[in-house]
Order: sequence, then C-alpha cells, then structure tokens
Amino acid sequence: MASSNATIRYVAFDLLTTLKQNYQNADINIAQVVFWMLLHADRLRKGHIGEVDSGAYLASFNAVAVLVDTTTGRNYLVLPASIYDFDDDTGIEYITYQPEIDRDNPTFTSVQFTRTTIPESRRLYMRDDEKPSPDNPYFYRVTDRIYLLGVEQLNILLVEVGLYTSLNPIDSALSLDDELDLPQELIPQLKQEILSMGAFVINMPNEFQIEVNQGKINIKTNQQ
Amino acid sequence: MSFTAQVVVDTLEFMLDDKNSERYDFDNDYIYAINAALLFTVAAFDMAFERGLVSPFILTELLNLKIYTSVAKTGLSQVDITTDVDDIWRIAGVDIKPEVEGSSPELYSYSTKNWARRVPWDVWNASVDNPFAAGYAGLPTDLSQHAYTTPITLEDAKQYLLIRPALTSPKVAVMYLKRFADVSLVTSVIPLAPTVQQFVADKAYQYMTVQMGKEAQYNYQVSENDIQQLLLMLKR
Repeated sequence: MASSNATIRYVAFDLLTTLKQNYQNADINIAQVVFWMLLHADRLRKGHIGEVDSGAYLASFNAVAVLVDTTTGRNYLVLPASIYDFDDDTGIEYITYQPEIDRDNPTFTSVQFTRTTIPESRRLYMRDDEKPSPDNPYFYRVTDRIYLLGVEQLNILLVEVGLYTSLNPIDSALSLDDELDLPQELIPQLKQEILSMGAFVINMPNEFQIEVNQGKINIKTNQQ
Repeated sequence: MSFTAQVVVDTLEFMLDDKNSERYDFDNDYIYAINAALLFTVAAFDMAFERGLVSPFILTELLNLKIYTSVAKTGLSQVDITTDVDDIWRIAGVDIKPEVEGSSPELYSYSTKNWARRVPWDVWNASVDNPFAAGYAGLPTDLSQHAYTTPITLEDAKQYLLIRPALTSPKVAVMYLKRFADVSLVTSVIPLAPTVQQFVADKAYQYMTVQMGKEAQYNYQVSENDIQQLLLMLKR
C-alpha cells in the first residue's frame, strides 16, 4: 500500500477550495475533483514506480485462479486488478506457483514464471534449456489475460502474482477517507497539475463564448 | 425583521410631495403601487436566486420548514407537497436525511451533510448519464449528491418534488420561502428586511408616476441595476 498519509478527502477538498476561490461560479463538484485527482495521481504514481526500484507499491495476490480456455485448452489467469502498462510487461513483477503443497517456503520463492511474448515463444521450444516446462514456465499477456506456458500437464489451480496496480478513478467503493495511494512528496505536483488543468477547462468556455458573441455582432452588422 | 406598509406610505408621501395634499390616498393609490412593487421585488429576488447571486436563506423572515415522507419510485422519490404548495414561494433547500425529534409533529433536529441540489427541469435528465451531475445514481456514497426539481404537477393532479436517486430513508425536510400576503391596510406587515423598504418605496413611486409619461414604462422590467441595488441593500 501507499506511503502517503494524506487522505483523498484532504487533497480533494484542498483542490476544490482553491478552485472555488478563483472561480466562484464554476460548477465543479467533489466527484469531479476526485476523478481528476485520481487520474493525475495515477500518472505521477506510474512515473514514480517506473523510476524507483521499490516494493512500496507492489500489490500481492496470493490466490489467483488458473482457468482453462474452453476453446483452445490453454491455461490462463485473469488479472485481478488493473495494472500499469510498462514496457516488457514489468507491471507484472512476478507470477509463481507452488509445485508441492506441503513446502514451507512462501509461494513466491518457488517456481517463477518468466515473461515471454507470442512471437518469442516459438523459439523457446527449439532449445531444451529454454523449453517451457513445469520447472521453467513462462507467461505472456493478451489484454487482461495472462497465459501460462509449460504447465499444461499440471493441474494448477492457484498462482500468486505480484502486480503494480493502477488507481481506479471509478471505484464504486471509494471512500474519501481512503489514503491517497501516492508518495506524499508528489502531492504538491499533483495539486499544481490539477489547478492548471482546472484553469484551462474553466477559461476555455469563456474564450469560446467571446468568439460566439463576436460572430453574432458581425451577422447583425451584415444584415444592417 | 419586517416593516409596515405605513413606512412605505410615509416615504411615498414625501417623494410625491403628498403630505396633507390629499392628492393620493391609501385605498385608491398607494395600496396598488405597494403591492405591485412587492411583486416586482419578488421577481428581482427570483432572478438573483436563479443566477446564484444570493441564497434564499438570506430572507430569514420568510423561511419555513416542514418534514415530509417521500415515496420511492423507480430511480427517484416523490414528495407530495400539494397541501403546502400555495404557501410556497420558493424551495430554499431539501435535506434528504433529516434528523427529527418527536412524532406529531415531527420537529427538525439538525441538518446533516445531506442537502440535495436544486436542478431545473430543463436539465433534470442530464444527471441520468452524467456522473458529475447531482442526481447521478452510480457514484460512491461519499461522492454522490441528490438532486431535486422544482414542484411539478403529475397525472394525479398533485404537486410533487422529485428527488433523484431514490431515497433509502423516506423522511425529507423541505425548507422554503413562504409567500407573503398582499398589503391591505397601512398596518399590514411586509415580512422583508427593513433594508429593502427603500427599494420597495422606489418601485412603488415609479408605479405611481406611470401616468406622468409612457417613458416610465421601462421601469416594469427587472434590470441588472435593480438586482444589484437589491443585493447592495441586503448587504448593509
């Protein structure tokens, strides 16, 4: 989870108050501010995770069901949460399974899946030391599905996955008292970005309105 | 706070130089001008309310509150205000989750954060699809805001306030501005702040001087200047 102590309530109402001070007649409500806030926070958070090698924002899901595609027979799992679309699928930090249920070691210390892609996977089968197998399994991503290679002969029911999940701006369970899952040092930057965007959005209709009015004046003049 | 019609008449007598002249009298002249001026004042307030320049809560003398029990329908709740609609000038606020004490009558205890937002009829349907509009049903509890409409007559010939999304708790507190009766006597009380009395007198004066020339008819229109003057008086 997050390292930030500020809740969504504090940051959102700070932004709303600031916007209202400058644009008193603007029709902006807290739902809209929270939406903007989470979108911008998500972008800043993605940048932070991409730059910093840390487990602060790693979300672990230790019992994700492995399913079988009824059409192709391929093993896959569905991502349990939305993740950042980093290069080389590094939004997925790890996928593991435990070959022996009685082992004392945590699941994530057991067999880890290696990332591959559909075009690369063909080559893997050409070398014995790379060939997908229960000891050397692979995964590849297609939309929100993660397909598994090398474990087709096993009856894997569950895997553990570690993901860099993104913020959900339309979470129906969102509470204003939830922590804003963003490094606290980035909150001033977040505020600056949203206020800049707010100023742009609020000012734009006025500019447009002036153009419309000018157009009307011209029409009247031509008629006369 | 309030003032009597006599105060306005005194001002008008001075403005018209009618002290002891017997040119005008209350029953045939002043009463019509004062009532017309009061109608004008109500129209000016309505425009100020619509523009969000001032809240109806500023007219504390006219505020009234009543607890109703709403009926939930698909996607919205109905509040039957038929019995009170003639008494209502304007809805000032709707508390969708009022704290009440007692049972008969139920007394409003205090306000929570659950004030609904007034949404005009012409944009009432916008909230169905717009998650950022008051009245949208799909938001988390912390972010949602209910919306209410102005009173509407439905097929059963009753007057309703509609509230969206539908309420889970049927009690609703409606705070409204009462209509005030026409002036009929010099002792009639005008339930507005005394700071407004000069505005009423000025307008009554304009109505009384209509016969002096047709150029005076522009005074029937509510101008920007009228609204600003009214607001300025209320801020005193």
